[in-house]
Amino acid sequence: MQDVIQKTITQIGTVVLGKEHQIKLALTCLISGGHLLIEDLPGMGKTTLSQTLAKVLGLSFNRIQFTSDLLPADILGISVFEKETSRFTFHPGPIFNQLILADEINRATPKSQSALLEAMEERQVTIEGETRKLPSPFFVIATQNPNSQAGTFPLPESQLDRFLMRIQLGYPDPASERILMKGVDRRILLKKLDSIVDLSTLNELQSEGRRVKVSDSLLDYVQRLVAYTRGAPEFAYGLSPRGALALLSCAKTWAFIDGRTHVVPEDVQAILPGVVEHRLRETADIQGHGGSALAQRLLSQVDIIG
Amino acid sequence: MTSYQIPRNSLAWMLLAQVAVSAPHIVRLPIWITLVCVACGLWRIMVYQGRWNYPSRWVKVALAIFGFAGIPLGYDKLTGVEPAIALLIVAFFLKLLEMHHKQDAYVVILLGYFVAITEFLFFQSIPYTIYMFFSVLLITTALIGLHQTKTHIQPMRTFRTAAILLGQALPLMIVLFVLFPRISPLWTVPLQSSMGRTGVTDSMSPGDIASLAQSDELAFRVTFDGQVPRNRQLYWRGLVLSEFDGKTWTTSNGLVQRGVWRSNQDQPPWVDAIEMRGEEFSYNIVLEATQQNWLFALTMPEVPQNNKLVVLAHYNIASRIPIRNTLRYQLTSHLGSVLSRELNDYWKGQYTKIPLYSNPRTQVLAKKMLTEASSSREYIDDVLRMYNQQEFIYTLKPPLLGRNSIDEFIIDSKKGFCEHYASSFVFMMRAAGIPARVVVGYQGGEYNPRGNYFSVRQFDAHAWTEVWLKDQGWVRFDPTSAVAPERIERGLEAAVEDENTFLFDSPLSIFRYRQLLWLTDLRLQLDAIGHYWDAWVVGYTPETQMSLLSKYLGDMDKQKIYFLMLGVFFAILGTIGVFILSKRSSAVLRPAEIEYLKFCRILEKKGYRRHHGEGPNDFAARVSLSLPSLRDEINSVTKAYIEAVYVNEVEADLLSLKKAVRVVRFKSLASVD
Repeated sequence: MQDVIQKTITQIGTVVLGKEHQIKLALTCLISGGHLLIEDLPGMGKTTLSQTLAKVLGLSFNRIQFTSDLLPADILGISVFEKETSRFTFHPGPIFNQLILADEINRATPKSQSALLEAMEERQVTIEGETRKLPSPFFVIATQNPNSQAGTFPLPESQLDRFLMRIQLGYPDPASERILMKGVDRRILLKKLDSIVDLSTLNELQSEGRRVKVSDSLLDYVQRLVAYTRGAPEFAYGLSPRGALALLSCAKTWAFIDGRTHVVPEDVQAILPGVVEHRLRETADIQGHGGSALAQRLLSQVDIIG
Repeated sequence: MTSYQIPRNSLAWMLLAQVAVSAPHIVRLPIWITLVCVACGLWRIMVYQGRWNYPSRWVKVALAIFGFAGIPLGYDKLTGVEPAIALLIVAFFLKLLEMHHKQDAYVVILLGYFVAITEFLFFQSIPYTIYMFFSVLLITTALIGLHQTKTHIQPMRTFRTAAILLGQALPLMIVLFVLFPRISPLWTVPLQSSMGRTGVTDSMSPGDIASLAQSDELAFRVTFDGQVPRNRQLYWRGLVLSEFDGKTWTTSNGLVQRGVWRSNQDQPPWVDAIEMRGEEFSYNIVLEATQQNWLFALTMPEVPQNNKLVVLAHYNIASRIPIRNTLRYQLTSHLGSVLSRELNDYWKGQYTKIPLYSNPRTQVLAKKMLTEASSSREYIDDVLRMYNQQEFIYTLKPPLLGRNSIDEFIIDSKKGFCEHYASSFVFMMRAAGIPARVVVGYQGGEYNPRGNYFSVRQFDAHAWTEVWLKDQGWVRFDPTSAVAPERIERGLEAAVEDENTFLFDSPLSIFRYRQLLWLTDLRLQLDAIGHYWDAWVVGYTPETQMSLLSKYLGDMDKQKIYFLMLGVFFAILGTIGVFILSKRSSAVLRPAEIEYLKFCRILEKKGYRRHHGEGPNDFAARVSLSLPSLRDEINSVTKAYIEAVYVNEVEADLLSLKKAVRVVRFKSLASVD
């Protein structure tokens, strides 16, 4: 099992260069069964990462480019009248895939955003009165530009909460960038990739991940972290129980990816920024993006032994 | 300059607190000081809203001059408490216009606490105390608001925090109040006499007591231990007036100078001349501030063993310092005492002295009546009978009298209040060569069944006389009782029932509505609460403190009280501290965690501190890099710790952890690198 994971990480690493930590985080998110939000400037490899993930995990993949004139029907699908049968037939939209890349999600209007986000939460869609199940597994990887860019509709807190993790890719280091510039086009490289994980393996990975041991001491640590966000004045509001559960399940998966059967505080610390940054707001700047500073503060203020 | 803007929340509470703490002073402030204060407040609001700028230096100077100039113009003299407080309040408000920094806001808030205290220089009653608590609460709210972010928009939450803080401070406040070693003030605050209650004064002209009887203010309260005397025995003797100028009676200064005796001195002859006799009553008096020295007692009290009280040659008692605060004292009186059986010729001369040409018609009348009487005793009875049987009227509204006041009263108007009767009676005695003098004080009092005490109010003020009779000494005669016996039996209100003049200047006085039973009941209840307040809070003097503590804790001295206070104080703080600490570490540390912390301390001594929040693996990796000699040991501790805490949670792992920590300790001691 461990080999599969390592192989997956290396495989993705050949396409997305020098971003092992982010790859592991993304993988953690998907194995934990959550949706992933990648936030970064254009051209940082967001799309490449998600395409690679889909390919390597052997999932059916579709990409929805969000624009300001995108309509819910463009995501969910539409019934069309057919002359031959004289009936309406449903044409499923791009959402009926195992892995959806919702590109630049904050460019679309709130109406279209919520069509996707509802599907994410329910894992089913209701179109024209008929409820249709989405394929399983169902992952959404959304990318967004930082909200400060022009022409965006920032996601509200309630919808950000639907994403298990939010990660940032960041600029590559010079060595990786050089390889990138010397090497072949990523798109060609992507086509050559083999899928390593099949559906049953993915299920197995998920259930293995859930079996990782969490000791009382570690639960205390997680509870102290959560309590700190609720009590300290610099936090506009604390983490929800859903946030606490997210921390725990990601930490378990991280430990599992690391090849352990128990969670140590370092696991929690590794995934904590990704899990909590988009769920926290500063008291002083409730509209802003103080999440990452708050996450750092959380890590330095709460000790592992308390 | 980007100037500091104090948070909106704090500013609002601060202005509110300023108004609250200065409001009680406003009646005593000249109007322009109030105007300057209001102007400063409004300007500050404008500054906050960004409409106006901070005032320029010249505006500030103008406001300051205007405010400070108001002080000498508004008060007669510049020394004293009131001008000082006015100055404080002007400064307090002017500072609003200078709040450029957080420190300035602190100054305003601290001044606020100070201004709040100053109100107690004037009043110390329960309503004022409650009001001051409220003001302090507002100031504290402003102080808390100052430390909140500018975006904090829930002022009531700030208020609640302040209320909780003050509530928590309350036990400490009580400890300090009861136990803090009390020292008598090092200086006395020069209050203007107009502020103090007047009460009975050391001179008496016609109309003085009648005007005093218009007030329902409290003079003192008395609690009897055990037996209670009858109403007509309640003559609260205060001052003896023996000098007469034809209209006004005053105390004899020479006598006061010479005749002062303290219980720790040798007894002068006039003290030896007291014969304690008759019914014995023990009682406790809580006297309201009078700004004067003398005290009130039933004749004749045993001389208290207290070096603060002195006995004067008129057999009245006094305090050595003017009574500026509520005073509590305990006395035992013998109501049938004989005072000064003998009187030498010098004193006889003093007590029969009248101005030669004053009130000639009365002098003639006295001579005539004396020749008709067979003895001086009969003469006294004749005079009393004259009051009783001629058309004398006891009234609160006596006509104004001229220079020969006694002539006008006895022969013409025949309408008078107690001072008219006392004054004319003594004059008649002296005119006949019988030593006599006027006594002023209070007579009667209202019994409060709720608190089992008597309240004596200003309208109980009374003047009566003492006549010296051979072998009987000074004997009390009350000519008023000859005219209006109900005054002595049932009090002033009953005596002036017919003319309906009781408290006619104060229509809102609660005493005018005695027919409303529930109101009387409520008043008695409130009065009883006020009594305990005066007795135990305001009247909590160094002596009361000593006696209270000695009662429960045995012999006390200043030092013991000091240690007791510190002990209780820290006991309370300690309890709170333990409570907070116990709440904080709700999860008790596991044995393995304790071991690991020991390990961390060992490394800390070597200069490698585990950061707050640093995980064990990260820490091990960081330290191993710089301490390669201990790398294996550190790793084994880390491994054992993780095993014990995160993997297995069993005892066996704890043992290997302990062992590993021991190894580290040993090695770290051995190698000094």
